Amino acid sequence: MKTDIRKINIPLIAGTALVLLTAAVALVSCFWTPYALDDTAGGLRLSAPGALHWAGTDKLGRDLFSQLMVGARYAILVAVLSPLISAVIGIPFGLIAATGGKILDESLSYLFDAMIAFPAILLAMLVVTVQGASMSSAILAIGFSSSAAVARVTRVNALHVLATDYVRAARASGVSRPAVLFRHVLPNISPMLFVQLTLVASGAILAEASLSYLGLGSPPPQASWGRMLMEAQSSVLTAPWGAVIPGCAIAVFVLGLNFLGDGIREIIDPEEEMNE
Amino acid sequence: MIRFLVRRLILLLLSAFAAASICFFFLRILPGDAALNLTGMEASDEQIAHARAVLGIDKPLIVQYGVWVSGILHGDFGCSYLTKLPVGAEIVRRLPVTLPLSFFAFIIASAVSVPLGILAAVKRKNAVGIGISAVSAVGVAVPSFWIGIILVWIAALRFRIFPAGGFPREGWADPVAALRSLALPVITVSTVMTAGLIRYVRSVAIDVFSQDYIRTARSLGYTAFRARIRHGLRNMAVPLLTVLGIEFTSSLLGAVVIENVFALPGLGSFLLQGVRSRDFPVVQNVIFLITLFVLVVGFCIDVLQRVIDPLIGRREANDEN
Amino acid sequence: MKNYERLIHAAVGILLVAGLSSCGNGNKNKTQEAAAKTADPDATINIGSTNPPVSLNNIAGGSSGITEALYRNVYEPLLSLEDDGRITETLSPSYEVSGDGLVYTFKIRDGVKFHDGSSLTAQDVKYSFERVLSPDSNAARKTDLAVIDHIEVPDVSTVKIYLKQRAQSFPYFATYVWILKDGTKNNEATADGTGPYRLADYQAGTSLTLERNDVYWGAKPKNKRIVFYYFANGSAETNALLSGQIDLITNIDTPEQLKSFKDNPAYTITEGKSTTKQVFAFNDRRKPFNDVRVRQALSRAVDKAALLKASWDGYGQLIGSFVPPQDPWYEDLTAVNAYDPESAKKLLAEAGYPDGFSFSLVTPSTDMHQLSAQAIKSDLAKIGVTVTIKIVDPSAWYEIVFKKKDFDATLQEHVNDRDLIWYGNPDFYWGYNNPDVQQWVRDAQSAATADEQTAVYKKIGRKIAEEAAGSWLFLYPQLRVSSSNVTGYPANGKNSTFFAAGIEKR
Repeated sequence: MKTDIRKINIPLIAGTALVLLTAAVALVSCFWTPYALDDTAGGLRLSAPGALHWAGTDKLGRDLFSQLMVGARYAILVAVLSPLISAVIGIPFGLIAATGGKILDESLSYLFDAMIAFPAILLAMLVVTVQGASMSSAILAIGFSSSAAVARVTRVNALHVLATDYVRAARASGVSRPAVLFRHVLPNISPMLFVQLTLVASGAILAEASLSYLGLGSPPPQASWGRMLMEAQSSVLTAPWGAVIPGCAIAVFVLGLNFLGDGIREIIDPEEEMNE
Repeated sequence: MIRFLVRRLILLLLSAFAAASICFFFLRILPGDAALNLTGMEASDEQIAHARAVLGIDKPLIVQYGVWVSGILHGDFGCSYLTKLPVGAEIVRRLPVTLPLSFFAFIIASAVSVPLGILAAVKRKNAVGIGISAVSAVGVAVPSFWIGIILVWIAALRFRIFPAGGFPREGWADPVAALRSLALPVITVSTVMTAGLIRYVRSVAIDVFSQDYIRTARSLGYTAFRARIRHGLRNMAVPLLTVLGIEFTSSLLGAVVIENVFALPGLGSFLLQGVRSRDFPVVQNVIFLITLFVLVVGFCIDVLQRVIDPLIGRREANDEN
Repeated sequence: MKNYERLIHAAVGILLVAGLSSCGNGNKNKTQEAAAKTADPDATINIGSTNPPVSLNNIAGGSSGITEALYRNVYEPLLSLEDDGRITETLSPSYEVSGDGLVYTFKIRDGVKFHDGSSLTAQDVKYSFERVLSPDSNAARKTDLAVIDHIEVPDVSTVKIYLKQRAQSFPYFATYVWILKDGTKNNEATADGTGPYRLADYQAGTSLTLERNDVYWGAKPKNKRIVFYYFANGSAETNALLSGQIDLITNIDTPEQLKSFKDNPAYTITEGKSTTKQVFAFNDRRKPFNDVRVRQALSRAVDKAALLKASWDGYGQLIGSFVPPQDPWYEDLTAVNAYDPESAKKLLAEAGYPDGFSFSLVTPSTDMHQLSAQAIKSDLAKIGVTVTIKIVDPSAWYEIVFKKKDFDATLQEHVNDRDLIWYGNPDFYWGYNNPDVQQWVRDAQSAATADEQTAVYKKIGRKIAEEAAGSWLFLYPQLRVSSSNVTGYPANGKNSTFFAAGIEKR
């Protein structure tokens, strides 16, 4: 029995692999890194990747590979917390919009649209201006901004499920609204929600990287990949690996999340055959 | 149609008002002293209190808010806490850097991504399509400023083709130098946008080309190519328009971040300076203006969609006959 | 492809290659050219700086970028602070001091005109001083200048300044007062002074252009135009110098920046003496830092020479007290509490901490401070003291350390000269409270002669060194880089000044 290569869900496999790889590195970093993060002993600044320092050292002499590993930890943190926040805010609101009356639905929909218009990075800047640069400011702002998109997806898909005959019949036979929501709507919209959340996660990573790069994200000694890029920029001519390597790390993780989302979407809603 | 316009306009105004409120009150919820930044190490308490009075931050919040909003309606955006110079004038001075940057990036991204996206859809089973998809997948996964840094390294520092940053002092009076300064930033911003747009165009194209009316056209004798062009493109117009509008605003946001990579004296670096020095007037005005821009673009897209939609619906019905 | 098309493609290709390859050769030719030419009196000097003015209003406070661009270039004081620390006469050719030291009578130079054409009078001087002292003013040295009681203008070219009490350093304070036209307000973006340059263009945060004032009363500048370009960071500056966009960088922040310029004949690196002191400050109010022996131990435990080498790679110098070499009362006190870990351990034991103790070091986030923090942490670990590094951004440092004084120990750079008096203020953030020193600070101001003042300050400098009121890790170097064809710029950059009139370009 030959396996048709087109039927194997490559995105799903690749995506899961890359995400797990990042998570594994993050986990290991909690117990072991080649050097301590603030170890500048030896004063070997901006040295190239080699036996002693696998990814080289930065401008203060700190080991880049260790920073890379700890950066994975922060990336995972962002990738889990931001979607969580947006889900906690967005899903309830989306459900309310879907099940509430017409006026409630319309006004909430407009609210979602307006919130989506307010750019995440600007909201984060507002938070940072007051609170000072920190990872929590970034995560909160990004999570909050993305909740509108999650709410919208929740609402659309919930409406879809609520309109099916099956659910209508259940309501007609007296099943309470919350029960309908939990037993029918949520399980059915979960896959699509999950896809949306992977999108939120990958967007959050990129947004946090931008914020850290601008100096508005995690302050030292937290080694976010975005901040590593900021610090490497000034020496990119003499030590380009400092800029190349963290960028690749970000790309790998985000690619993994995107593939994961694509893969799941393939399962739910396979790409149609075009008319040749 | 008129009723829709009016309702949408009211919504626009409400959203703008909400945005202004968020910008203003968010900044002032938590404690933080703008006066201290100015007076410095040697200041006495009276000096700080005096500085606060001069900045007008000793008045109640609602009053300050009122002052700001009524100022906006007259075109007065207040003065920076730091330089005491009017924010509006400074914004205008910086627009000639940021606007051309986002505009060129948007044009290039749109022009490149639409044909490539359609190509990726049509050829998706063979190497060309898969190649384009793969490259664009990577393209959306990298941070845009990283591309900028790499470009600075290679094109500016290593091979000295373009300047590594900055904008000519004379501005656009020296158009060649200005364009050279913007070349790398434009490439940087448009690259990530293009990658994202290609993916989107591809999925829309696949969606549209698999519709029944394409099959109908084929059965009527049209070649695949003609069928798609005649019917497909028209139906892609609406979703494409929507996403292009969104991309228009994200090109502006992209420019804001990228200015930092290339040390461009535009709106983005102005905003960043304001955030770093807790210069509230700068931060709230720039963020409000950008958000207003986003809202207005959204409004225009909504209206355009409404205008185009009925037309398409009617023409399709006629064709079927 | 038709043949002529091929030709055109080839031609374009050759031109491109030629163009690209010639990009790198510009530098090699510069030195040969430099040797051959003489100075161009109408040259434009392009200067790179990472310190932009916040506004052109001298009493607005904020960054020192305004001093760099305008001090003695556009605006002049009665007396000038030269790059080597001397005080010279500028707008006042001579002055007298009354016997009790309370009245300073300044003569105002004749024939000096402001850039707008009006003549300089004593009234302008009175206005300028009062402006610095006004409630709106956030000018540097305002608290020092508050020793002024009132000012009289007996005639159009004489100013009499009455002091509340004797102030030996008054001429020095006077060098900080820029002379503006009487009644000047709202000068955030304009400048009308008496100096050798007039302000030609100002784009806030981006560039500032000065042009030679051809009716200047004194020696004409050796160049025609000065353009300050402001960069976001050191590497952008470095690139600009390498590509020829600028001729000079006023301040090098890290030794890595010098990598492309060392041993490169096309560029000149100058090392001047700065007045920026890297201070490892203890909160002298808190245990265990209120014990002299503990402070001395911590001072002796840090290998400052190694830290200097790691931070500045051979530049800079060590200092033994809070006094830079340019102050008149400088003494080499580096032998006091010098590096001696053994003696440090003994002192700790004597003070009751044989097994050491731990504290948190509040560290501003700049690279230099982080490096220092790391070195302190590892050096102190060797004598049993555990340091927790707490990194904060500059505004947080203000709040926590400067205002609330809620810290164990901290790091900070102190830029100004003659600031020894802070150790006579028990409310200053480090809280050093020695009544003798406080009395000496008062004595120093009321000293009758400069020599007397110097002797008193020397006593203070020595005392705080012996008692390790703080630990002064090193003195920053003042590093400047220029293309080799540009000379005549000040090496020391005293208090952020940059007098541009002597710069020549070949």
